[in-house]
Amino acid sequence: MASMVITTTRTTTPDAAALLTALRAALANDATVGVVAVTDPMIYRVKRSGDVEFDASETTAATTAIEAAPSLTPQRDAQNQIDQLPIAWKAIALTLLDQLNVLRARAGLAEVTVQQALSAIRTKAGQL
Amino acid sequence: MALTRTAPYGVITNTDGTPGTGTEWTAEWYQGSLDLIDARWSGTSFTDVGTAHNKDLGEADTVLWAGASDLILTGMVAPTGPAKPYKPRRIRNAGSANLFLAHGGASTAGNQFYNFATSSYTPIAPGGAAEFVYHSGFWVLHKHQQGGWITPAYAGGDYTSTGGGTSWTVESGDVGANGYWLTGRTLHVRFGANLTTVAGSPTLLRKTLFGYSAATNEYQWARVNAGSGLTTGMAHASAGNPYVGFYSSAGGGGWTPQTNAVSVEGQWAFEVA
Repeated sequence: MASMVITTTRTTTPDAAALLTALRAALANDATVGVVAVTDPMIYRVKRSGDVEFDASETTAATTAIEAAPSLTPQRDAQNQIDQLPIAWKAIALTLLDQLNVLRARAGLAEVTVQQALSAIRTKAGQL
Repeated sequence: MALTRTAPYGVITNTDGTPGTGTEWTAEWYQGSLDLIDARWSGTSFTDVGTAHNKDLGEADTVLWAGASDLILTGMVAPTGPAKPYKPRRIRNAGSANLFLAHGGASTAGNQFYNFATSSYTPIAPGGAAEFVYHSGFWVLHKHQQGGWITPAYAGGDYTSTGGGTSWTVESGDVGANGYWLTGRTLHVRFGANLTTVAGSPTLLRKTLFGYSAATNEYQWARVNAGSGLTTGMAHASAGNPYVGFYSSAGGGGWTPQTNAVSVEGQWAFEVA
């Protein structure tokens, strides 16, 4: 495994999910890339599979991605939780959706898909 | 505690004026009696490293150890000539390495330690100390203060998983914290590993308990990331086993294959044998 420790100029804690997505994109979409804060919010350890060490351009790209990652907010934290809803919560939401769609059908309205429902919940969390 | 005395200090008697009767209170006799008192506060030091058995520390009541690297001490020569039941001995780590005292170790019977925790060593970190009293054929531990936390060297074999075809790969750089502090039979553990890799779908990720065995079944919270964000998992020690296992959720969930994405962190206290 190759790893590097990066000291950034960040002053806020990043949204971890957004950070990981951005970092992987900056490093050739390598799905084995992981990142963890060593000293939040400035210093990070980045790691990937294989023995090829990170070169200067990759270090720069990773640093840029980390520094540009959005800060964690209550809204983003909620959205990340919605993206990883436990099965129990998802079952409650989708059962209610099923019932809602029954009523919508009787009213002649189009069905709301699971994806549309979860997206709406996610959007709502971002607006609160 | 009384001094251990033998002739000519065992029974002191007056003379009736006849030469050869009673105790002869000569200068040598006085010097010997003072030596007995001095011995009550005697001390010594040593710097052995590696492993030492049947360490002869004379009559010292206070011992300072300052080895350049770790020492496993399995026993000390029992107080003799004459036998001195209830003789105390304090050992302090005056160095910068760690001193480990083995319970019932490889020393000769009669020279061994009898510690609080029996499944592994009683550790003394720099600045720590232990006090033993010799009785019942053992150096019996009466007081122990480890001093600082001890952080063992990384060993990849400390990390395993349950379930055929599964593995938990924790590399040296993944480990942010890995230490312990023993008080009585309670082992305080702090541990944090990030960006680790899980192969297969293990039920538990396991790490060793630094050589100790759990004495009871314990479930405690852990901060984990099973690959989809930080959440609450569990740390589980089971009686008789030399490891702590980790679940991915509070409900006892297992793990899925993840590369450089799994973390486990927390600080726990387990009762150990």
